[in-house]
Amino acid sequence: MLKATNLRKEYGSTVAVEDVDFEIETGSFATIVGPSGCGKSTLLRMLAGHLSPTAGQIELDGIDITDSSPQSRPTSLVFQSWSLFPHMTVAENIEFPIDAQGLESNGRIETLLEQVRLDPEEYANKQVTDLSGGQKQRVALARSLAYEPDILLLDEPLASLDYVLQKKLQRELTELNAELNTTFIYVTHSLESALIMSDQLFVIDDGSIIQRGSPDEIYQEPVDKFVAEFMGDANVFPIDVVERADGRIRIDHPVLEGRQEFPYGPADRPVPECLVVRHDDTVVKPSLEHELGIPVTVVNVLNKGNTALVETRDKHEDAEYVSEMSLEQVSDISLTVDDDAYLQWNPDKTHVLPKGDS
Amino acid sequence: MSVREFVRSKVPTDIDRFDRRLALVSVLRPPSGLIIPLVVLLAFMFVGPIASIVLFSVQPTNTISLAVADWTLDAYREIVQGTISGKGVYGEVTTNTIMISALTTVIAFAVSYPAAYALATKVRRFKLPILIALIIPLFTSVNIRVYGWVLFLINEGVFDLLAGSVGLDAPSIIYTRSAVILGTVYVYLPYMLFPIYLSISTIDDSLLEAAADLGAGRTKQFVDVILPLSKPGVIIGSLFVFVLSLGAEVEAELLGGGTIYTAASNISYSFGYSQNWPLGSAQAVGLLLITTVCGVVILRTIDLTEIASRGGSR
Repeated sequence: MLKATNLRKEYGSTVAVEDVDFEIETGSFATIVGPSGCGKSTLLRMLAGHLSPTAGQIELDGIDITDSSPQSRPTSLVFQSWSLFPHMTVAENIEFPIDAQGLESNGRIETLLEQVRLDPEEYANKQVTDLSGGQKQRVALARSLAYEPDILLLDEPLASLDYVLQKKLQRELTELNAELNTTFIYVTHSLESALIMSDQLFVIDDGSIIQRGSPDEIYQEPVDKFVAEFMGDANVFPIDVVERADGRIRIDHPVLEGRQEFPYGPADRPVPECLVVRHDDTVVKPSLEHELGIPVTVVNVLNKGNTALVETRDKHEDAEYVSEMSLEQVSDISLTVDDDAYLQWNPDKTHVLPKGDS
Repeated sequence: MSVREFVRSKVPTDIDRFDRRLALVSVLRPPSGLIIPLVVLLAFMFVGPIASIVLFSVQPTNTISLAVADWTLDAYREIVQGTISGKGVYGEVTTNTIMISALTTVIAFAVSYPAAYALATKVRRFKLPILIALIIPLFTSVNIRVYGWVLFLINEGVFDLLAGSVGLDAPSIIYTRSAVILGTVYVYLPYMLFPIYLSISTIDDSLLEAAADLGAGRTKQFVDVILPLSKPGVIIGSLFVFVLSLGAEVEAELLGGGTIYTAASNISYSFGYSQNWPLGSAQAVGLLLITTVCGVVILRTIDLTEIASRGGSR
């Protein structure tokens, strides 16, 4: 198990990572997700040993590795730019960590290449400068695995690949994680990869972990507006709380029609400031048929292929809200621009949330 | 592939004759008109004089005005025979030139590599002033700098005074081959240092991090990553220094005091004192050939695509 306690990194007066605690089970796939500049790469580099923390401790299976060098640490980092040695062949790159540990490769290079789905006969003696992005990615992965790390750290290694290749490699990474007894810690700003690959998810912003849990838990129950918006396209309705008692709140919203009372607890949770509803949990219809809704004017209907985005404007407050509906729904109602309608949804799809830091 | 086939392969076949001719013109056109001024300048200032020297080199001894029809290989014969037999001045010239160039290259490398490595990786403070201090001598005329050395090294000069003041009676090295090498090392050192410095500083830091990450200690990081990746700088630097030292004339003339004959000083002597232009020209052509061969052979060992791929490309 990898355990971080009060891990902190300051650059001058800037706090990049602020007192982070977490535990990651051996062999699991954990993802640290957050926007650019949130401190996730700093965190990863501290785990790899390339940065020393200002304060705090990193333990691996009960052994303190906070101050051990990258050379002696059982972690291996797959860099965002892959950082393959350009003057070496594929095989020489993969042999590097084996040689550095004073071991003999004894056919391991072939096994590793097969593990990352590269044909050893075709690729072993190629120069890495002749490879495509996806192939370089695979070689970088094989090279890191050749080090036989307990923990494989991945710093957005798929970010510069095309979408189809990303999908493919994401699946392969999860399969590889299941095959090996190696912990994978993956850093990304892409929510989609985080949801697809991980057992455990850490949402990080401004150097702190805002929410942790399984991808499903976080998707279903975001703790605040930041997480909700980060986890998916969502409409945010600012609210005023008029009454809060017995795990319930009564709200006041100038245009919201329908229910004004929602469950909200526990008592020490910060005062809620908004209702958040995902685009695909709402529909736009001429009359109010669901329990909650606001009167809007249709501004635009965008065909996304399998769904349509209906952009609307709140009649009173001039705020814009979006609904993602199936193409059938849109054509059944025959929505056109400038129609008056209701953007509406059911209360169980409503997240009542505090604002969050950003 | 012949030129014709090459051009054909670049021209689509499913277009009519006129378009085809147009496409052909565009294939033969230089990549950009922007290089035309450079080409004209080089043609005028490099190709012209070289052609004259080649023509003069096949003229009979002491020709002053060209008579192309009246050609002979006498000058070359004299040089080749002299060099092979080691008779006359040619044996000494060859030995001196090769010794001076080779030793200058080796010494300049030995001095530059550690300094370039330190400047590229270790030195943080005062890096700019140090680099500027290394460049400034290049703004000063070689003659002035070499005269400085003469005044420094000459009998009862500054060196003797300093040595004497601490009770040393060091024999002055002025007018020896060592003095000439000292001068060439000093003058051409930046040509070794900067290519090495550049090649080390363009090594992506993340490669060293990756090496450390994969268990490599400092020695392995240096031997397996930094050293091979700085090879292009070492090769280019060595080529510069070797070739420039082959042609070093002022250093040999002044610090050798007219007693150390090198290829360049001998060419200068043939053109000047002995007024034997064809012999000087033939020697110049020989030196040029050696230089070109060295350059081509050495540059072929560098992987230019690897160098071009540095700096963020993947």
